[in-house]
Amino acid sequence: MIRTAKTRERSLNTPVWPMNYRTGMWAWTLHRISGLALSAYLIVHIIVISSSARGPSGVNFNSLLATLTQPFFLVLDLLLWAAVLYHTLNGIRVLLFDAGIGVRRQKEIFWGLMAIAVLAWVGGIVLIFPFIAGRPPIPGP
Amino acid sequence: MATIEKLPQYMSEAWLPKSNTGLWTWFIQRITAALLIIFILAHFWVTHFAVPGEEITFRGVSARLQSPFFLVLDSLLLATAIYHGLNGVRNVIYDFNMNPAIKKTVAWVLLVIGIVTFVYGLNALVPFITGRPIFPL
Repeated sequence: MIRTAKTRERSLNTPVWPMNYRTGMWAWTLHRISGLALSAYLIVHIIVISSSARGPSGVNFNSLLATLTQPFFLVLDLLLWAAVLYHTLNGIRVLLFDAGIGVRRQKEIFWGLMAIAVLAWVGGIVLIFPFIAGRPPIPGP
Repeated sequence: MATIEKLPQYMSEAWLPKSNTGLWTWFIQRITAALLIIFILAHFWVTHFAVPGEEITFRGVSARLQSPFFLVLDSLLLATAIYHGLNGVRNVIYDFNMNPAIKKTVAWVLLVIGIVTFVYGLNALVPFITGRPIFPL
């Protein structure tokens, strides 16, 4: 983005305004959004799994698992995996900065970690896709 | 590097949120963050990859949860995840300028949600060891 003297004077031209966000500010914003989403997921996950695990028969648990392995939920799992990867890897970046490591290289570290995130996410797609497509589970070695 | 003569508006006292979320909570947020990397990786590995090609069933899960090791590990995961998640929500909310009384209420509500969720989750784990829940629900 070209920053002229004129745009610098506009009151909206602050890092607080999303139009002017740069790498670090986007990283921070996405960290908060993914964090809120993961917190909501966490509470739902604990309540849903715990409720189903009652009683010795396990009927509720098994029928819940049958629902959660439907393609719709598997696609949601991929979104979850994306949020987990982003929040974890950017979180490592935050931890490094708090330890005083790499602050001056924050952009490079961010994109390096994001490359790992993309690879791991594609790996997740490769593993989950056969189940979304409805093919039987691949037997392990 | 140019020196800053006058602070821009967004850096003025009135614009900056009063971020008084506490030093200890900040520190514990970092500790739980580091722990969660290990715990979630372990959780993910154990539930999906430890036995290749295994379908998740109640029989398999209860066999695993009968060992005290997994009760301890899952309880730790439960506690650290809830703390980290809800304290994170609190941090986000505290960054908005709002009435301190509302902030205090938000913190208490999140604390109650956290304790209730932790006890609820623990109550589902304990029966695999003791044979009966702490309280029926």
